[in-house]
Amino acid sequence: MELRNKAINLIRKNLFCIIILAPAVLYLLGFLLIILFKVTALALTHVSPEGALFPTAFHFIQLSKNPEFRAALVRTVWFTMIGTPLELIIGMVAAFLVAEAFKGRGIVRSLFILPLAIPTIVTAIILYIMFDFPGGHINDILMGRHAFFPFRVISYPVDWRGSGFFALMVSIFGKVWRDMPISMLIILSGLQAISKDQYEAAKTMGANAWQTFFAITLPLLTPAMSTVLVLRSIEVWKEFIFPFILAGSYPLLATLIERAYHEWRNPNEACAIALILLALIIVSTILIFHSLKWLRMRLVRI
Amino acid sequence: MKQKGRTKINAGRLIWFIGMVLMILMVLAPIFVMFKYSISDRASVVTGGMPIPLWPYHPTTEQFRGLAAMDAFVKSALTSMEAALLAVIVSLAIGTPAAYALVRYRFPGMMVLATLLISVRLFPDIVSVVPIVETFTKVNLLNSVWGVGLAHSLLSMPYVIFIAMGVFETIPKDLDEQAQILGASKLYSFVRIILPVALPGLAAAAIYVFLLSWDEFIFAYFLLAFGNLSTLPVLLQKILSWTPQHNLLAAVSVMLSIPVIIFTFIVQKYMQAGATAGAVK
Amino acid sequence: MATVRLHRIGKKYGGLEVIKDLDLVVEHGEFVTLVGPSGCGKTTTLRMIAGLEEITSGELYIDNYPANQIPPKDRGISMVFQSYALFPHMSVSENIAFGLKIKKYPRSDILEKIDWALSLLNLEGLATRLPKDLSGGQRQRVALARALVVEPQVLLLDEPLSNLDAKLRLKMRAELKRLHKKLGSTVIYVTHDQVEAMSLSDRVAIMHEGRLAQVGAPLAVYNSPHNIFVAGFVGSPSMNFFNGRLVRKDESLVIDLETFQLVLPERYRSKCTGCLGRKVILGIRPEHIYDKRLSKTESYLGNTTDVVIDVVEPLGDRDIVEVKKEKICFTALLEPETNAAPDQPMTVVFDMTKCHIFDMESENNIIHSP
Repeated sequence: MELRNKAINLIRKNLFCIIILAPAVLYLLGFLLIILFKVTALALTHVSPEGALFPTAFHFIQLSKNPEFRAALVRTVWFTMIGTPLELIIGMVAAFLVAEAFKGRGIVRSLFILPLAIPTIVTAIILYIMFDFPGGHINDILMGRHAFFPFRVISYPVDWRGSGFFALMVSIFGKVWRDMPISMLIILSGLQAISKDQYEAAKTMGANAWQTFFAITLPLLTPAMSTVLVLRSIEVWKEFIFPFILAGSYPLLATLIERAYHEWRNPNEACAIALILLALIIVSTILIFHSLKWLRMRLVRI
Repeated sequence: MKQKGRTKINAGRLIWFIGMVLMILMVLAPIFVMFKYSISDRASVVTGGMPIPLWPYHPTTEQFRGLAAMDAFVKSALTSMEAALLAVIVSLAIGTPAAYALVRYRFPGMMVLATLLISVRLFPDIVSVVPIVETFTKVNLLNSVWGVGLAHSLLSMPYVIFIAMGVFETIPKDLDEQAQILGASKLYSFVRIILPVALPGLAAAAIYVFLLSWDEFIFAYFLLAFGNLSTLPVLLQKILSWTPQHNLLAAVSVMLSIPVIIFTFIVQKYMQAGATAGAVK
Repeated sequence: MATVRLHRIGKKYGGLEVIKDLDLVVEHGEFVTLVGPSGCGKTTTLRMIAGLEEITSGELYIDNYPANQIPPKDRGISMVFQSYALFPHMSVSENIAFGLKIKKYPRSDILEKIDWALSLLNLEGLATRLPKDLSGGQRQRVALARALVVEPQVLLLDEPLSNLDAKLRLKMRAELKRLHKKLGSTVIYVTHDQVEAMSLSDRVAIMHEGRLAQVGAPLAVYNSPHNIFVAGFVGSPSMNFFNGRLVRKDESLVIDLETFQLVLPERYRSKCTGCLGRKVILGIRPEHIYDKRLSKTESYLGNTTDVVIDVVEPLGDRDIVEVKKEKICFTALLEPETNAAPDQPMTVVFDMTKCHIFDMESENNIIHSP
């Protein structure tokens, strides 16, 4: 009784807080629960003329036999393993380019943020145009058809979208181009967190630029770098727009979800793929997180 | 010794300079190509085997004039705008008060709740899109601007909470307490004191949500793929699948990008905060 | 106007007890200052009176009504925050009218009261300005006007002068005193500055580690501090403390400081005989130590000692002189005519009628016990 009165009192006192907080919590977490429930329920249900079966691993078994799914899985793993480090490297290059003060730094920084201001779908369409076959800008340039680059790298135009390898490379290029500012900003904030004193201390001890970089900048930057790797790997795993526009014939798991849903008219299978993708993302995030932690420990010990 | 150090620095500067030029070229090339195609005449696009010119033979605005007369484009632009406004209204109306509560009431577990709400944005959209579409189909939100707006509000809510929390944290608690002592209820002081003071920051959040919805493709595409309604990103994809006419695609792209480019630089500070949300631990 | 009574008030944050058994009565129309070093609990106490902080134990009475559970807006109080907490999007007059509008005063009354407040605080002509266009002193006055215009029974001020520069602070201090004289309101004032507390208040309440160390009129606190903390806190420069022992020498009582001895005046004898032979701490203010050459009275019972001057800080009207006697250092406030210079020898006289003797263990004043 005492406890109940206390609880009622607590609620009354904080009624305003509860009233203004509840809608967002219900809206966000409610939808999250609906999504999780729905995706699991659909993935585990098999509807056949004989009736609905639940729960069943039918779709997962079907998928494991499906060569298209296997190919997509392999492609997705490659896509992520190439794309994630590339996002980090390009972000670091951009960050280091604008880290030091120079004339026009503000303008260059704004320029480097520009990709963030181009809608993803637009970037994909532009790359579609640039990497067109047979007559796109990239093919023209590589064949040495412009005066400013008179080197014939290739003799025949490449059908970028018609080859699995090139289609995925172009998609990765698009993804890295569009996300570069985000990685750059995280790395930049990491760089700014390193105090000037540490550089000056290194300088007084006679370290040269390379030694300073490897002994101070890189180790102190590892937190920012792991942030980029963890956050960006999630983004690369689930990338949809670039492969959807640029690698239509070579689906990744994300684009296979769309195909299963729209072409195969099989929402259950689409949800099964989505669950597999979600599991991959979670496992890889945990793996990256722990291996980075381990790596950082090693670095600090040295 | 001194000489050696000097040449080294020069080599470093050279590498830096080359890297800078390459990076700027890389960043600008696709954007340049987009603008170039959008003002290209037909002969500069369909060249019959000749290399495509780096600058159109006869720059023209005919694509843009065509768009203004194109029903599908005008209607899609309006749909995009409606969906974005709906997303702004819903996510701000729900997210802003919640952010205020998360900042002002420091119960144990409140920070955990805040982190949880903000991390919802990390949930992969491609995973949630099928269950959302299946759910929306049941409640007649397929092929409707309401469905797209609601879906976008869901995506943007974590960002709104994140940005608004940052804004409210800069408002001293003294203001709330002073209003309370002078007789204002909590609701009154929130609406009359805190919200007006927070307005500039919240406007940035609104712009951020607007852009997020304006750009968004995946949910809009799944919700509108087979209807006659399109947002601009969906229209772009539809044009691509009907007739991949490069200068038309580029013109639509330019129209889609311009508001984003303008607003991005207006609210750059907050965009960066949103883009790197969760980066600071 | 009303009385405020705190009865055994306590405050705990989790397991941490920040206020312990606080008893204080603020009379109708009285100006009482809570003063103490930072972290002593003075602001927490004020916030509990305002209702911004929950009272863990004890009872608060405002105007003789129990107020523990009454929300801030119904307590009949006004508060001025250290940051002033002006609403930045409202003009001066809107800020002042805020409380009146909420209390649904008729429009004509509101206008009248705004005018009254503006002229009371010399803010005429600033009515339409925004807070960001005001100087620090003007902001402070607007905050005061906003607090006064609702005619509070009790006015709470939380370090209102601490954000002003030294000159303005002196001016506002006088202004506050004049205002209190004119309006006669009950005021509870919080500051860490003992000079401010002494100069403003009818009574000061000195707090130390969540407890009241002493409450009393400024002069009473200055003249008869109940314990070492109050003795050291009140007065500037601070009181000198010497470790010593109380012994009998011939007919009189003497404090033995090892390097020299000081004789207690006759009238303290009865109070001190109980502590004979015990270790005590002698306290004497710098202003009660004189240069022997300049002192006219002969009545100091030969309480003199030879010292060497260490540091001199001239203030103009007085010099703060730090002197050394072997291992003992202490401060004296001397007249400039002394012409004190470092490393000079001199002879100082102690006015032992103004001295204090504290028990080493309890740290309480033996001569002026409560």
